[in-house]
Amino acid sequence: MKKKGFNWLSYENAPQAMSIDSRKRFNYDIFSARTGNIYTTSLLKQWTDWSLGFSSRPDEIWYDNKRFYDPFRPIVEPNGFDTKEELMSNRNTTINAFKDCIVNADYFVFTLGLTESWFSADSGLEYPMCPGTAAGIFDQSKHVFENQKFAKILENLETAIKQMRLINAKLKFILTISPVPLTATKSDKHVLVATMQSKSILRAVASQLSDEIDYVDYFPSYEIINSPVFKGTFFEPNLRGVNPVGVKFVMDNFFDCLTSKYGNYMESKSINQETVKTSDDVLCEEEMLEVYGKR
Amino acid sequence: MKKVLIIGNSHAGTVRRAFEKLPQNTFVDLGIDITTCAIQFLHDNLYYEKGLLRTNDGNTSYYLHRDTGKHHINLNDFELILSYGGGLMSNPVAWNNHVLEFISGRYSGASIKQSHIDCIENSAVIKMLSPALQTNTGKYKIVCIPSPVPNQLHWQLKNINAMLPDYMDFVETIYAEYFSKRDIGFAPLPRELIAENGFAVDKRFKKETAEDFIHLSDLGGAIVAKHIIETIKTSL
Repeated sequence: MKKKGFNWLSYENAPQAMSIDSRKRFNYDIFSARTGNIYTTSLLKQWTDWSLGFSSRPDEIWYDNKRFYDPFRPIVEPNGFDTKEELMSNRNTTINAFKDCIVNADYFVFTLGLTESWFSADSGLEYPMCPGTAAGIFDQSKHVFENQKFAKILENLETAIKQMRLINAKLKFILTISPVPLTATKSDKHVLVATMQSKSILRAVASQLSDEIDYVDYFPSYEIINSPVFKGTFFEPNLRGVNPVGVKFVMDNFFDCLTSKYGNYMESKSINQETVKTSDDVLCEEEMLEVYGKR
Repeated sequence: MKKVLIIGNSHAGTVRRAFEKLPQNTFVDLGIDITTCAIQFLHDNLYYEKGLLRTNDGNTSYYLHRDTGKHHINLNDFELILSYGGGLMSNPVAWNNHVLEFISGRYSGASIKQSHIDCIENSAVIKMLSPALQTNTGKYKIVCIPSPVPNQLHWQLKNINAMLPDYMDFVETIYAEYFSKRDIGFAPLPRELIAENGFAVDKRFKKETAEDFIHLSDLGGAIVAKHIIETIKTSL
């Protein structure tokens, strides 16, 4: 989108002298605010609540081997934080940046990724991934699994959208569904069944909101990548990650749709192969699960 | 005869001039026998006055850090390569940002540290030396001295009232660790050059003229010159 001249907002920027490689390692220039991936609608609402003041900011931290880790952003810092104070200050920076994004954006693109989620039994707060995978130590008595149902997912997304509109009445939303299948499932179902269940629910939620609310739209990247017409050619050899050709095809369709609906909205340049991110550039915490599973 | 090469940037021009103004017995007093040690500057016609480099033929120009590596010289002719500045700490824009980011509280210590390391790796002197470092072909010893932080600069830092007495320690620890891993010596700046705020050069040692508010005065240059001589003595 940046190559096409879109103003992708970034309100949490790297130290200016940081190299491109280091920025990537520290998760700068990847997220508009360094929240890490937000896979569930409940997690989106949680970040919205914190940033817009609908709930108090969390104080939970994880401590391991003399380093401090953010349970709500376990991968943003490659090796955690030096001190608790540093972690809390940095977390507040992200929360404030997330608010800046909401206040200043014209469009908010959200990809619904997962129904399976992990919560703190004590606080009820949601973690973006299972404790003990990227950071923290799993404790069955403290960490609760939930495979979220349609009604909860819908309610959280609808509430988050309405909260954002309270502070930015012109904000519009584009919903997509992650085309990436589950690597593993905590449910007692086969991962194929769990994947289809998850995608179906998320797709139905996206459809319901985009059909009912005029400032919410849906873009079918999920359908494009998974369409039988393309015989799985948009997937990497692991049949999970989307390859650069698939990403380019989806984005070209996205821009074509804009052009056909709104005309030549801006002078566009074609995306050449060099500018297309490789699938290695697209970060996904579930890849951590793959590593974790091999231990 | 042990040969020492001093490479660097515009600040090295200031030191070059300071070297020539040092009393004749300075080297002897500091234990350097000038009959057995020859000190050569990479830019043998480098003087820094009024914000411009002046060459022996009277021409003036701005020094560009990226030009450091353009001088083809056989480093193996020397026993000691002493890098003074060459982008190490001396990039004013980068330094301003480092200080502002350090104060802001927006960044983790690790990310601030990484941005300093990226700055070091992007410096003219490291780019010049890195081929030799990577192939381990150099027979010479390398010691790096950062050039004075060109600070209390006009636009941003003059409005900073923060006192950061530990800041230079923080930065120089990063430098020392970085160079130690690469078998390069590191000589921190003389602390007397640094102002009370902990991150800027004390104005007593700067030129503070309209033409040049970045480089050291003759007084500051003399302090660095002695520091360099002492570093040479301990390194050879």
